[in-house]
Amino acid sequence: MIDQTIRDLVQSEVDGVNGPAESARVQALVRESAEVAGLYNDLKAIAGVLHQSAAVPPTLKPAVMRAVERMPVPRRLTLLQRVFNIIAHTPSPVEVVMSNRPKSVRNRVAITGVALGVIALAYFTFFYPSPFDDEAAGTIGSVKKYRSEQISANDVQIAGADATEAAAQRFARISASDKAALADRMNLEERKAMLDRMGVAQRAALYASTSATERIAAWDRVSMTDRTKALAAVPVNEKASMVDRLAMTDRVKAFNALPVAEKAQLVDRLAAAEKAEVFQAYASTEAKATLAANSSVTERAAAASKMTAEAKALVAEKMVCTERAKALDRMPAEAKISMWDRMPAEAKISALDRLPRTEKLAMLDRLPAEGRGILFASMSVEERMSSFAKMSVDQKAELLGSLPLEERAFLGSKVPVEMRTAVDGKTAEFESRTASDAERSARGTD
Amino acid sequence: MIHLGDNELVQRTLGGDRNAFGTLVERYQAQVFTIAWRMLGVREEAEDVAQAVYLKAYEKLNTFDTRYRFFSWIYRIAHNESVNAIERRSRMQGLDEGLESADGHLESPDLPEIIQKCISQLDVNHRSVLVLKYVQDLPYEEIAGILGIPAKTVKSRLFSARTILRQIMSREGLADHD
Repeated sequence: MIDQTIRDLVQSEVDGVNGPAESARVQALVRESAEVAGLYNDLKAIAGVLHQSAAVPPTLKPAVMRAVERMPVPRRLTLLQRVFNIIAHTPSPVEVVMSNRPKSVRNRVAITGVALGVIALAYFTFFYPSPFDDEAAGTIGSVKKYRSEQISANDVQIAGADATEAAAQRFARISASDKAALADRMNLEERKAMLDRMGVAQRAALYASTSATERIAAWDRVSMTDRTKALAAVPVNEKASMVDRLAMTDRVKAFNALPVAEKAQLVDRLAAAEKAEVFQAYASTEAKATLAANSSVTERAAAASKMTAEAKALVAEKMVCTERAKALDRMPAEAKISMWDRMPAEAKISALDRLPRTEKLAMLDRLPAEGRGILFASMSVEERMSSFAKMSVDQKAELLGSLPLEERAFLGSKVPVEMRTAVDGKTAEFESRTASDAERSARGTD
Repeated sequence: MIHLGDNELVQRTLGGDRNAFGTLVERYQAQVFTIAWRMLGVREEAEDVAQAVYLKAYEKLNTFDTRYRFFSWIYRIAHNESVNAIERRSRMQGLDEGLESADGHLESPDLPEIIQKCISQLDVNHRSVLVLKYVQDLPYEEIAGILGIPAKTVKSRLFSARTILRQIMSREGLADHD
């Protein structure tokens, strides 16, 4: 037995923290004692193995930077905040529990979250000073002016009252790029100020005069921050009114034109049933899989935490089997298991075929007896054996009870001797229960 | 930008320069990923955790105290995120067991994976101290600071971890690989 002091000395030597005198002593001890030499060599060998670092996935940095691009820049703390943090012992980031509570935006008419965002943005991007306000409403001077290459602030004339219809018609006549250029010259506050002067009906009429392409182009020209602000500023009833005026094809077009992250963000604002409908109606299989694959773990967690069990189930139900399998392929193990729980048996079998063996076994563990029986039958002999060996007595018994006699005999022989009596007893119990259930069912007395 | 110190990069990031943060990501991604991978044993999960580490760091960068070392801070986040992931996994009914076949052998005989499997058999406390020690040869005091335990405990835990790991490796027939 090596003395504690010597042990520490050897460990410090391996860790490179000894001074010359201590190192010399360790070397002497290694020469004198085979036991110390063995310990020293063992520790060195382990250090050698553990010093190997893992190859970094090439996707790591790009994924982080993509997510960072969408996040606001963290603000420097003021001196006062720093002092306050010291006094209050602000928890470090690793102690902070991230909370992603769902926002309670439950708009019954907002069939597509996507459309909401596009519409809200379009308000602020395209809308025009209200023709109904005698004092301050604006209009476009001459259509031709906006066809000139340079648009100046003078092109926007503050005028007296004008009819909404006329304004809408004139607005509709100018090109999309002119509209966008015009909007670009106004800041968010100006756009909002003009918008505020208009009633819902007028806004809707003007909005309806823009094409889906124009709306999308406008959306692309505004920063994410402005989009969020704009979205938050539009009352629910107005959103609803605008959505009603959009044709379904326009909605789909607008949705498909959005980047994945924005799609996800907008979908977050919908109710469970709406999410399910949007997911099914607007996203292709590839888009669904991409959406899952492109999200960071934080985004996935945030999205999952915002969905109720009901929403998740609805979304899962709306997917076809191949879609589930494809999405499952790209998810981390934990997400797979969570999704696995919600899938029907046939979908599980299809998905299972695409998984590596180790993941297959983990999935199998989570199935109820009847599902396990079906899946078990679709596995290779090697997979079955591995899985069977991992099962508890109850699980083994239930599985044996649900298998044909030939397979049962084979698997039964693989049960360890000390477990056989218990497994046999439980299997008989399971069979008897299953038989009486079937009998009751047949008699219609159940 | 690659020649700038960590604190300078942090300040630039706080000033709105996202590329500065990109340099920090690049500088520590190998270590952060290795911590996560060594702790979790699954590359896909490790990548997710590494992403989460950087996003959390970015989000909370204004709380980073530049009197301390950036890498200690990011390693601490990486360690805690990994532990959280392990706990989440445990709540999902023991994926660890699922990663291992019943007869105790993985289908791939790849040495790094077998070593990783051995590490995964250590408890989280032993795993943490071992992983942090070998990520960047951190001194005991630094590891102690990251884990919030005394340096003396780090030393004794490190010894136990290595001893247990050695036993596990022998059991897995890895003695010859040394």
